[in-house]
Amino acid sequence: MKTFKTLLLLVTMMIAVPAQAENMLMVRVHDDFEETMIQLKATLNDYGYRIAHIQKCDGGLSGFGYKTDLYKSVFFGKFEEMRRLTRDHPEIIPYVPLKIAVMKEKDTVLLVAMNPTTLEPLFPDPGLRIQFERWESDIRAIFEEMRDKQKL
Amino acid sequence: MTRILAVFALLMLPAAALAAPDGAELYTRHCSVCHNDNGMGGIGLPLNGEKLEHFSRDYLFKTIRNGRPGRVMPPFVKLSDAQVNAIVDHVMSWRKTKPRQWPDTPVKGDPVNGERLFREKCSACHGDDGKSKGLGTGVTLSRERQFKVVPPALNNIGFLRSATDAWIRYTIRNGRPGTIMPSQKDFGISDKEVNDLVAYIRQFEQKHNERPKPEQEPPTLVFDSPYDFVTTVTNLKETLKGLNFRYFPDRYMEMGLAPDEQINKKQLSLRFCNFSLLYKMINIEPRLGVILPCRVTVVEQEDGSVKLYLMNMKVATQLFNNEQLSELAEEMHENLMELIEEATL
Repeated sequence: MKTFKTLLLLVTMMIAVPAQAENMLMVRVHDDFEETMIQLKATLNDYGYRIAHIQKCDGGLSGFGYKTDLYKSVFFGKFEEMRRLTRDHPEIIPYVPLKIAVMKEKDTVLLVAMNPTTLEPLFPDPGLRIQFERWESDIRAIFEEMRDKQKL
Repeated sequence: MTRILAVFALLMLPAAALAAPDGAELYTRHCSVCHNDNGMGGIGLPLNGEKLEHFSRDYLFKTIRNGRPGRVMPPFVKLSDAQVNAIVDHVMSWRKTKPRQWPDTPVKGDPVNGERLFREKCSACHGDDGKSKGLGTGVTLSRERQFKVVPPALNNIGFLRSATDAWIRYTIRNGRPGTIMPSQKDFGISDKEVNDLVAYIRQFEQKHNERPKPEQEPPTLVFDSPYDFVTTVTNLKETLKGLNFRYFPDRYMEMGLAPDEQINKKQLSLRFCNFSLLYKMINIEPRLGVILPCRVTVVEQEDGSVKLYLMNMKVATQLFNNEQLSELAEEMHENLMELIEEATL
């Protein structure tokens, strides 16, 4: 048993990758903007999220005469989760539903989300910590998939 | 037991070797989102082209480690030395010439004369205090910019800890190809004056004070409304109009996440925007969309009382590591406070 534990420890040490706690989670996708939006919607659905709405930041800016490229904010969440959180932790209200900013940058598209775990020190509640970590994990996985899908 | 471990270690060796940091992969994962593929720039500065020929390995390594406090580039403190080196190797592989190493020896010069020269020759782009006059980050891509490439903040502690005197001197002498940074010849200054400039720039390090951390504020601002739900919403809309905000159609918080008949109609989000301020802010920080648009959520409590919930912009904008944005967030905060004050009078 001891040998097994030692081996396990060795393996863990050898494959451990330091975690990077960035404030922003980002991915660059090499695809056109509309296709990226379609893929994002599909990937969010795969992870059990629904898109609440899409804010057309570019439309608003252009409407006021400002130069901008394509830029949207995608609001997404899960109904039951949202209801529970806003009931038990109303202080989280301004930070939900979650958001992904989607912006065109030349021939690529950038997807950016605030890293939910950066909210941990601001909302020091153990219940929320688990929630933030789950969201981070989901967004990372969604971004990984978006990155992989472009290669297909 | 020892034999088992030895065999195991031997078996793992090839795997460990294979698992050596992959610079290209690490660059894609950690850097390309800002600096773009092959370092062409985006939210982050361009890294490729002639400019790269000026970088030393040491400068890049320290830049990744130190970041640029208050200037978007984060410090990558959790990457191992091997991983940072692998990224540096990858970026350096784009060079056409062999990397140069710059000595650590301090350059001696007259900082008083350097200050005079700096104000005359450099401050138009780098600012009187070395803070940089360029608003925003990186390079022009989808929006208008004052500078094609934002001039670096020379007083930034991350820059000063990464750049040696010799490297700064070389940059002043040769300029920065691919940018508007001229050379010593263009400036018409002597070698001694170049040294004076270096001595002045190095002095920023002594003047450096860590930006005081803002007083700990709550991430969410909560206010009680003396009015009922409908009156509060009406007051907010009237006040938004008066303050020249444009507001978007009402949205219940749960809207879009469930059929309409299931959603809570006592949680209403009023979304609004001051497009002039938004444009300024988004030019400074293109990723701002992750906290947009401005929003007040009106919630009727079980006892019929009404509360208003707002994101504290001063706290939320700190997550961007962008001092210029934090300054504008103060302005936005004042606007929001005025809104709440008037609507709940």
